[in-house]
Amino acid sequence: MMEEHLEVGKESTPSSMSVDLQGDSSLQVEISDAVSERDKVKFTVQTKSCLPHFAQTEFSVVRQHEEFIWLHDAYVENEDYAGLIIPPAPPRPDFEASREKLQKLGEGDSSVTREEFAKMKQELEAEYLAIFKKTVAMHEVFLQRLAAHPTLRRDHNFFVFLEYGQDLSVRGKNRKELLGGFLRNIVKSADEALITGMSGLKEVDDFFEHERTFLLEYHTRIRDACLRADRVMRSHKCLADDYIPISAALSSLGAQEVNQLRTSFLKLAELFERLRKLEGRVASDEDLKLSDMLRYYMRDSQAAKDLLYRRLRALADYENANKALDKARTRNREVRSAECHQQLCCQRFERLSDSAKQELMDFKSRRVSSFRKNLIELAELELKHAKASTLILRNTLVALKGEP
Amino acid sequence: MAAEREPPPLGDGKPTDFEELEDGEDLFTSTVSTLESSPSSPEPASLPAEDISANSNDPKPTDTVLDDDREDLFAEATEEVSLDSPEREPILSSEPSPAVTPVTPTALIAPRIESKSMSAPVIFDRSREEIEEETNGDIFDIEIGVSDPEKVGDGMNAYMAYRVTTKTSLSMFSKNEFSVKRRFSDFLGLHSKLASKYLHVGYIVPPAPEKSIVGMTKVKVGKEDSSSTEFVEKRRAALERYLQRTVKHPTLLQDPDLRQFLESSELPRAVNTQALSGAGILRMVNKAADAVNKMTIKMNESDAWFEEKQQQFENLDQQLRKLHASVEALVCHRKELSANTAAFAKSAAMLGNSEDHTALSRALSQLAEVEEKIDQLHQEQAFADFYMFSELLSDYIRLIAAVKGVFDHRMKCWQKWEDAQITLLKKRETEAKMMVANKPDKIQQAKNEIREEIEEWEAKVQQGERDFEQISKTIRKEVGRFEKERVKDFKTVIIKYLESLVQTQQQLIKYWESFLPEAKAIA
Repeated sequence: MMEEHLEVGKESTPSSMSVDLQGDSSLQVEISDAVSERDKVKFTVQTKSCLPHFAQTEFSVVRQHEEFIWLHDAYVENEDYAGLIIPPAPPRPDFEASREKLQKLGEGDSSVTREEFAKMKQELEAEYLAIFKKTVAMHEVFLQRLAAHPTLRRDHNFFVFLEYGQDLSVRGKNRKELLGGFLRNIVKSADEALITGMSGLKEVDDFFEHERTFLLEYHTRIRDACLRADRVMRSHKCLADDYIPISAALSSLGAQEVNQLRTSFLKLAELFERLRKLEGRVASDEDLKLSDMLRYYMRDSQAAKDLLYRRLRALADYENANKALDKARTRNREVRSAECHQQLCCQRFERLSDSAKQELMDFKSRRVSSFRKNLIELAELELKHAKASTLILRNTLVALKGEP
Repeated sequence: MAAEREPPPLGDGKPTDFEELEDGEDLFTSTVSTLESSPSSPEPASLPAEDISANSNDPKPTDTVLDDDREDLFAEATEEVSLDSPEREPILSSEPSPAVTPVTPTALIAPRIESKSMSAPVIFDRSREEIEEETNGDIFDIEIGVSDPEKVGDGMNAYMAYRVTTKTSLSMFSKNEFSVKRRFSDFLGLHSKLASKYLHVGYIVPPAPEKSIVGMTKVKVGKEDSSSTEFVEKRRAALERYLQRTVKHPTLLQDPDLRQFLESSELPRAVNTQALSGAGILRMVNKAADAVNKMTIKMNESDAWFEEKQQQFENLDQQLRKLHASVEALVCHRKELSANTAAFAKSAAMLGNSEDHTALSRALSQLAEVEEKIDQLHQEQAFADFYMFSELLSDYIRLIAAVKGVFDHRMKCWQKWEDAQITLLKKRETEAKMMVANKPDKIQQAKNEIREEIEEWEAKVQQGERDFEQISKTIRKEVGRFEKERVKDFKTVIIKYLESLVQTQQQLIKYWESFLPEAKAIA
């Protein structure tokens, strides 16, 4: 139905997504282009790197959403990265709602004038475009966080993802994989029990105890805030859309008046048209600066939670190894192997704890700076739009009052 | 005596050219000068011309001066000019009819009119307009307020009583400021009385607010929730606007029923206004019958003005309905926005509580406060959307229905006249047949009867024509007044509404400006 070819440059990245990427320039990744076809989006991933591993210094490949997910899952399943926060996977591109609305509009409503129809179509197309840009941005920021992380950027799968010219044959999870995913979720809930303290595991570290309680509550609340921010944004959008038929009706009224109300109605029609555009911008700014930011940190905080229970699992393993060692010692059987195992578990646990601590502190500073940036920008934009609205309202008032 | 005298011819001898007679002054001056010159002129020739011209321009206070010194001719002329009641009007518009012989100023001025012309009464129209202009300008000073809704009684017999306060400097009222308690059915009763008196002669009587069985039941049952308080407020505002529009109408303002409504402490219960009463059902049946009749009346519209205006009002009605529907959607969505903003404010506050970075936590709490205030703002704006914009539109949709009703009455009036003419024709035919038939003894009595009937129907035809012309004239004036009011009304409300929008934006600026430093303070 819709072929949307988009030149996506760096500027178009919704800035709520840009995290503090202090990485060096030895590996730069961006999505330079994107095409929306019937039911899939094709992203052109462009890499610039002077790393010796790559064959060229600049190259690109075409990837689809499922390949991003494969990459994310590969990181999650990798034991080496158990102590790190894995950047959250980008959400699946979803144009369903937008497509449906465009279709309904196309089916036509005879009571709508041609101008109204044109405006509504324009609005829906803009909406479609906005969703498109957002999905590109989210896929891009995922890659960029990986590229910026000192450990994650060196992953072999990452290189394959960036460089391998053919498709990775991971599209469409087969039944076994789907089942595997289902099982993984069950295991996850068991881990959730760990993290919520129901398993009776004793946390020895104050820092992690605090982080655990904090993240549990924070994640729930930020998810709530995100959902409600979405609703606010949608209401603003609704309001903006309401101005379309109002403006059209005022135009018609003005056109058929022969008295002084003619100019009044026509000016009012113009005013509502302008207010509509401003209200639309308020909606989209709230979407980008507030909703999207909250959504991103909801996912990021989930990734942090995942890290915490990976660590707790390691702690559980460590405790179990201790118990096994004690048992071996009392029975005086296989003591050596028990000792080895216990040592391994201990090392693993300590390794995880150290890196998790660093990761969680990074998460906090990332979060704070992102919130700061977005809240400032939100306030500035709201002010800008309110001032613009006031101006056009005042101008219209002057014009109306000035008439005889 | 005046009737015997042949009305003096006009100075310029052009009886049908009325454009020049727009100015009353010229009219009387020329008549007087003719009288002075004609041999059969009466004493008034001695009167100075200025007196009379002055009098003709200033219809109100001149009765006494002329009555004493002058001929019946001029005395009667002045009498006709002092207009103070609607009943007088039919007499004034009688000049086109050839059978009318009373000496009216129109007969005086335009003795030789063959063609039907409506413009002679224009002079008197303008005099009346001048009175009304003055009424509107200097002494039209009356303010109505409807307030303090109070529940009276219990259960299903309970009702809301509203205080109606009038502030006025008009002399027709006994006091300058007074108030009474009225219930909703009283308002409906008032409208019903005014409608029955004035609608069928072409006056646009403002419609009363609509009944709402659901709304009132909630109030009766005693639900003290926000939807019933909103309902009562909506009704109170509507009743206020209704009275304000009614008193703005110069003719209705004179009506004794209106005065009684505003002034007297006790008002007989208007029982025929209940929706399901016998009278109510009768009304519904009549309305249905009217609708059917309307479809079958095919009027020969001789006056394009009426056709044009009807079309205009039809278009206006359609457009207003469309706009009204859109504005209702706006009100609804703004209320949703307000609710969603409030919900978000709460979750932002919770998030702020969770946040362990102190400065960010504080900023989030501030954000929550700002959003809460913004929610209030949206609610207030939704009220403005509704009470200013939406209610204005719905008021005018119903007013236009009243205008259409008035046009319909004109059609019915025409139909009556037409029917009378047809009957007269039949009677005349019958008479003609009788003349030809050869039965001498029976015929004389029948001839007399038929003659009587013919005379009766001739009178009815004349009355029908007079009525039709009267209602047409009244409608023209009413529509003019209505349009003026409409322009004023809309402009006033539009400006008020825009000012409310400006207010909202300014508050938004204030709130976000207070938040910005908090956001910047996050370290």
